[in-house]
Amino acid sequence: MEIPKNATRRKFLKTGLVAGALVAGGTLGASELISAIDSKPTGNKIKLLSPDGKIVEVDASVISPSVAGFLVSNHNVRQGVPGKKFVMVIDLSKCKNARKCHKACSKMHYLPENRSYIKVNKMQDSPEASPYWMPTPCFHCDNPPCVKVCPVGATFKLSDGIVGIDNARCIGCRFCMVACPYNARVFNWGEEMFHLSPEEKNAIKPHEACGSHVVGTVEKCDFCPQKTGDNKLPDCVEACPNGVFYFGDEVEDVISNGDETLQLSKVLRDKAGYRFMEDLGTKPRVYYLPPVDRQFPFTETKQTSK
Amino acid sequence: MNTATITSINEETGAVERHKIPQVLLDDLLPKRLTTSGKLWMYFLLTVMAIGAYAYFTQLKNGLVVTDMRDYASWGIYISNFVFFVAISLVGSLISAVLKLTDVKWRTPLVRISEIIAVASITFAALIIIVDMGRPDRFWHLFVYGRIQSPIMWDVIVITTYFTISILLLYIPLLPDLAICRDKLTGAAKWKRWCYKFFALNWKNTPRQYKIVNDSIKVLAVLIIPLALSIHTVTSWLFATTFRVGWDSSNFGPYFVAGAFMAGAAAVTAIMYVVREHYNLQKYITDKHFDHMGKLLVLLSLIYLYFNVNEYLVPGYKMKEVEGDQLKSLFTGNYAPMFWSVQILGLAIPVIILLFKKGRRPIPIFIISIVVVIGAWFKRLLIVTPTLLHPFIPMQNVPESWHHYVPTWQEWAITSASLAGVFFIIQIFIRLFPVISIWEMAEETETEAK
Amino acid sequence: MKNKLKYIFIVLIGITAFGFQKIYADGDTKTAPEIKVTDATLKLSFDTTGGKHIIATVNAKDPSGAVVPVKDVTIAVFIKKSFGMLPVTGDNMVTDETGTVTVNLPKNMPGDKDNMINFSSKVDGDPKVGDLEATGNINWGTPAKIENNLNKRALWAARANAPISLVIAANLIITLVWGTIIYILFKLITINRLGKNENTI
Repeated sequence: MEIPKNATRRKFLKTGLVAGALVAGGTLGASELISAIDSKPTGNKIKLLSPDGKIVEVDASVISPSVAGFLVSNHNVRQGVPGKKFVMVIDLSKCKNARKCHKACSKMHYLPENRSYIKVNKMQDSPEASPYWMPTPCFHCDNPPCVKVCPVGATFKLSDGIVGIDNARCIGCRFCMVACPYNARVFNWGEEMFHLSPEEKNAIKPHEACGSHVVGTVEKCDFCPQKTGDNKLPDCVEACPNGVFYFGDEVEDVISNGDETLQLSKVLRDKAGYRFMEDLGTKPRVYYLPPVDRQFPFTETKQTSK
Repeated sequence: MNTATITSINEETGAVERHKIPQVLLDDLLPKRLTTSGKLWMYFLLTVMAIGAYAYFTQLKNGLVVTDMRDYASWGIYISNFVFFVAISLVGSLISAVLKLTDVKWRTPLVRISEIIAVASITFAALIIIVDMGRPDRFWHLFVYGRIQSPIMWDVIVITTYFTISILLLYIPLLPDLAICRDKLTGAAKWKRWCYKFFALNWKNTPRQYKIVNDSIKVLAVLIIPLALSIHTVTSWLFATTFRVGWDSSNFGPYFVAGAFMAGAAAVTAIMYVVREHYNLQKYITDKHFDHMGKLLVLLSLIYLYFNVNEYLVPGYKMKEVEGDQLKSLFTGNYAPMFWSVQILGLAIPVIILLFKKGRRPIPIFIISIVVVIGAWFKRLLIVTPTLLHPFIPMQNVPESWHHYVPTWQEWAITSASLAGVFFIIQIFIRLFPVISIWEMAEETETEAK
Repeated sequence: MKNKLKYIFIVLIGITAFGFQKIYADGDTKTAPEIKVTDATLKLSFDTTGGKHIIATVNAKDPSGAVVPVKDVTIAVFIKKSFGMLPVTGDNMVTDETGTVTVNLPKNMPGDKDNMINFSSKVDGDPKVGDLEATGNINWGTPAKIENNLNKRALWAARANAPISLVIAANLIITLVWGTIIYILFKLITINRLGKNENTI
């Protein structure tokens, strides 16, 4: 990236000052928050939510996108990461229902523990076959039935392949929820579905204020855009102790689970990668590797539900 | 000027003929004051609506969490009630258009009743869909950001259009009667007289005015038939355009339309019985009308039965995995009592009873019609809910209550209020305007006299 | 222009502080009659003879000061991508007598927007040469297919990109029906006007 050095430094310092002020208390180092990505000076005021819950207004130009994504509630949900096509591969042979993805997702998206955008389902293909665990995030389909039916364009396809939601536009008709054959979407039925007490917030310490919960609107897995935009893996991928999730860019043809990096096309070819219910023609961006040569014998995990 | 007349054009000679409207018609058909029971009925409706309004207030305050809808059963009785109202509203087009174009003579006294039922129920269909929205304050987004690709947008367009045409089909044939009200009801309250005068559009019984009215009705009658088909077909597409089990059917459009005509015919039969008994209109709405409506209802029920057989037998024969589970829940599972009650009491038995002449007498057909309408309401619940509770990826790790859908008091209150609202509109209309078209009845007696 | 260049290489050299001090640490290296080397370098180069290869070479200075290839150094070569480093060497690729490791370019590996592939090679804690790292890039990437189908007309597209047939059909129907409705409304105005102007009998 070509950025004039001085400008970058000045921006960095300015950003640092603002962010430093915001994280007064020092729970998070300012340097962690800043990346020196250039942001176009907009002149717009941006509302920032500081970790202690105060709302501060600053000019947009002093905030780099990743910082904005980190602290700001008005991340531009209609903007994809240019030149990327995000893709996920889930290796079913490794999943043992550790549910760390579920927990990390709740944390990331500021949700109570029993609520998350990713589910881990017990599946069984035939009575004789052993059951297996299948995590299901949003599949971010390339022919998305949910996007087709939205009457107001509150859910849409981004250039990076992600199916985004604009919670400021959603009218809450829930047509997308019934149109999704995978039940990937959840609805903010009321405030108690996501509101956390200050104690709970402290316990969870949501590290990114991503996903602005609006009562009466639909939400779902968003592939953690603030992280993936900075070439960091989504939280469910990072959190998985068994490396079940691989995330990457289809354009680059490379996926990674944090420990292991693989060539997407080669993995799909060699390991018979498939997409769930391919016959529906929704063209998911999430692939599965079959649950063969399991790393863990299937054990029924006690499922908690509130 | 106080003598009410109608004008007709002699079809053979082309001469303009003017006839006095028989006084008895005016006495019988001009709107009357509410009786005590009428007032009690109004108070009852207002109470139900007030409770519904309070329930909606709690919903606005807390969000849809006050309902029992959750992430799986994400549509509930608001949606099934919406489908029910859309279905009922099809009766307007059935009586005032289909029967007109097929030249059915006995329809005249029923036209206005069915048209007001259509207008009232389509109004509440639109309102109930706003109630179902998570963000009713963003309703305007539909007009600002609307996407033509969405079946909801098609529904918005087609319902608005159908509502407009239904209003016109109610209003235009009302013009001569409004003029009669204007000229005859001189003792009415000032605002009512102003209304009659204003809405009568200077009606003076001129032949050219009559020609415009008759031509307009003809145009609208032709126009409303495809619209009526599309309004309910599009409503069925809200379901059929998804992948869900039980909805993923190319049969859904005609299936819904057939069901709608049946439910609508039953609704108009039930209401015309009440109107006839309450306002002593036995002379105009005769036993013959009930007999005809009974026959019509048998025909429509048999068509609907045929579609039901298609809709359940074909997938039931194949028993695909998830679809099979859903069908089992209907046939033998926890929805079986409701399913078989609806199919037997609301469809099979009415057909059998109505095949007999005695079954088509006013009282039996009134009771049957009410059963059919109630069955039609629950039928729509059976279309919406069991499907949503049978997703492709089995429901797991969710609270036990999410596996069932039991509407909360708020949902029942709001739904009841919407039904009360439909009755309220009908009642207000009957209080203000002639429920049977005076001028058309006069024309009819004139023709018969010849 | 870049294509005309047969070899492109950018070599970075990393020499650790400890690398060359560890040599002959234990007696088990007796079998290897190796000489103590210093100033080891790792170099990445590219070769197209008989297919596209990436060549990693380890050289070092022997005690006499002459530059010699280093044998039996484990080298890993990666392709740098957004979310990780894709290994292109198999397990335990060690340098031969010429101090080189040759790996084939993986099939259909896309590059960046200029078809450049960024390679990185590493020697990790080798007893002779310590830690070394070199990176290099070359325009061997298969052109990345970034199709932005957001501009396509589709049912799932934004409203501005609705399928043209749908737009035409919808507008046609709406125009016809609402045209008729408006016509009827005008007729109502006519009724009003007729009532004003015409005398009743």
